[in-house]
Amino acid sequence: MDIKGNKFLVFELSDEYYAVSVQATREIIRIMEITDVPKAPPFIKGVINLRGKIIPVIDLRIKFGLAEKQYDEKTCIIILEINEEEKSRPMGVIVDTVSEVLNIQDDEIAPPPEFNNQDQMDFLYGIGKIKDRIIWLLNLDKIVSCDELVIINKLKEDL
Amino acid sequence: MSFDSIDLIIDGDNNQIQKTTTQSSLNEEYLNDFLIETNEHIESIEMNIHILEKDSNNAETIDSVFRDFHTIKGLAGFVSQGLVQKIAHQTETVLDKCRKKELVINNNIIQFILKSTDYIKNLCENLELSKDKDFNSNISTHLNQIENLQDNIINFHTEPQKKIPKKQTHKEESVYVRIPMRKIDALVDMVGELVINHSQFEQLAQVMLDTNDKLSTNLHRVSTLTKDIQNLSMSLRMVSLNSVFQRIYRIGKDTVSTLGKNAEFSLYGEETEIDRGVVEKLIDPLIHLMKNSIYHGIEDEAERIKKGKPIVGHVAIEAYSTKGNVYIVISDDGRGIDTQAVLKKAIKKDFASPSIDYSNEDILDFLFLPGFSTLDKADDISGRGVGLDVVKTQISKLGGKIEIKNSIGQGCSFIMKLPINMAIIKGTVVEVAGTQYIIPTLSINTIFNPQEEQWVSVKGVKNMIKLRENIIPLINIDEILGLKKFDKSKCVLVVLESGQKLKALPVTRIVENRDIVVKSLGVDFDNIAYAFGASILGNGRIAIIFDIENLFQKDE
Repeated sequence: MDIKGNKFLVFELSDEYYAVSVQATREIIRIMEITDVPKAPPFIKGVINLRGKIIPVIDLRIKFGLAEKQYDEKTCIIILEINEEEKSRPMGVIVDTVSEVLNIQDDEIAPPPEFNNQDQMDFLYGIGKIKDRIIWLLNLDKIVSCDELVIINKLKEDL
Repeated sequence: MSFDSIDLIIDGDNNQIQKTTTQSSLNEEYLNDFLIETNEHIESIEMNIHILEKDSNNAETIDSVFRDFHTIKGLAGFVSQGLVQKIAHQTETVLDKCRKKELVINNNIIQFILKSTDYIKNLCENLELSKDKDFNSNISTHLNQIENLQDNIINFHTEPQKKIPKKQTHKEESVYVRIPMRKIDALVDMVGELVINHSQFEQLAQVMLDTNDKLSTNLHRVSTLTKDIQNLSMSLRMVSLNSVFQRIYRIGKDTVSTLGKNAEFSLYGEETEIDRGVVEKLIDPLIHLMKNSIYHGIEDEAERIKKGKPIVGHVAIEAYSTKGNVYIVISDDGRGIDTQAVLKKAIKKDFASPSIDYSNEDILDFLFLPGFSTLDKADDISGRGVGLDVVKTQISKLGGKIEIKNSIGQGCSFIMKLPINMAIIKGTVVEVAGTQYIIPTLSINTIFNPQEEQWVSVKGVKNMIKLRENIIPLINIDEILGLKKFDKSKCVLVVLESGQKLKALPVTRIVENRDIVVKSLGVDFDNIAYAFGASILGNGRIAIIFDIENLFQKDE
């Protein structure tokens, strides 16, 4: 994910704020029918038909180990462009709601803390602090392979 | 739910355009063009050499090979590939003499041309080779050899090329356009969607309007048009089997000379067209079968004489298409498969039980089992099983089937049946516990409602069904899909076939038969073995397509 320019799309998960670079975002759609793929990892909710394209959808609450929540009219799917080895492909992430597009300046972003396994930290671009709000700036290119759950919990303890 | 959406940023393509404007990537692009075009010329050369082997005086063909080398030379000069240029130049010189009848095409010259082609191929696969000392000296030796050959016949000092035909003088269609594959794929994809969307319209129209309504008539006309566009767009993805056949043919020849056997080859129907995606994946299985035929099928000369067979063995590669399927057959007139020896080995390996009376088909099926032929020396018995399981898996991944026709002492044929394209298949939509899935219709043997007395229980569980004289095991679909409550005894049974085997898949109900546009589920689901892909149904829902091969393996 190319994080140039400092525009971020901010969304909410369980009353916490997260954001992805606007550049990596394709579009935002309301929650729609998701086809279950039995035996897939639990955080992969299944696939959606986005205008004839089959796109995998991830539930970020499950991925981040937060309590599951019934989808409602505010639930959104953010369609991201994921970069993997030169190729890019679309992927949907389910979030509680999308709140705003924010300009976050470099001096408002703290780099991700050191962690024993740096590879595993790839998903976190930095931590934005705007007024009193903490925003987790995510790089979701490696969302499927990273073990965010463990790391995020550890980071929250440290904060 | 609606598709209300905020389009934020789309289009990754713009970045690509910017990238290609730098100098280094321009060069890369030229180099890429060079590699693609050179490969095309090599294919054409190999094809023509095949003709020259039979008809060494064919002036038109000699001309064509000459022009191919000439073009390669030019292309190589343009991208500064000196070594390729040198090989092409020397070979071209020889061919020029053949054109002028100063040299007569003989086996040596043919071998020389093929060798030159091989070297150019090697270089195209790995351009770094041009810096390799050994490789360079091999080429020098190779090229020197022709200088000697030429010395004997003619004063060796080539004059600059005089007459080179400016244009290729192909008589058939003359204008071609090079189009990136991804554009064609995208087109086929979209047209597929168009067809599905259109059938939704038509279904609606049927419900809402009476058949004489003008809108219905118009819709129907559009439907015919869309189908035509679909066929046309599919044909863009089709390529002839020619280049594959040429490759197999060459490998066959090489294998024959390595093994010191004597065999001829014939190719039929190489103009048959098949989906590009299928062709690439066919090469390995075909090479395998070809080698098998020569290695195990064709006897050595002494043995053939003893049997009263023609001394020269014969291997035929044949292709034809009917009703949406392409058949490729590799047959030899060798010793055939000794079914008794196969059975003996199958029993030894615990694949078969000595107490059962197997039919010949059953026995041949053992050859396709993984691990059937492993450590045993291939000449131990008929030993055709070397990796045949891999061949079978490959073919079924392409949605095809493979069969053996065997006649002991007379020879053996491997018949492959493949779908013409992989993009659209006939599918049967079924419902399993509330979710719809798709079964490729080609794999369905029968569908029936089981009666109470047909069930066969093993250890108190109903897991077999009796149908006529067959006892068919059930596929544990509840386990495969992780379903909690699924009562198999109240199900419709879909009998699937794979190889000669039958298995019954219990489903809640049959929904419909339809054309299915096959799509990939994507890399995130690579581990989901029961899924072959997915498709979008008429109602816009996604249904997973079952991988039949995998459903059969699961229970074994």
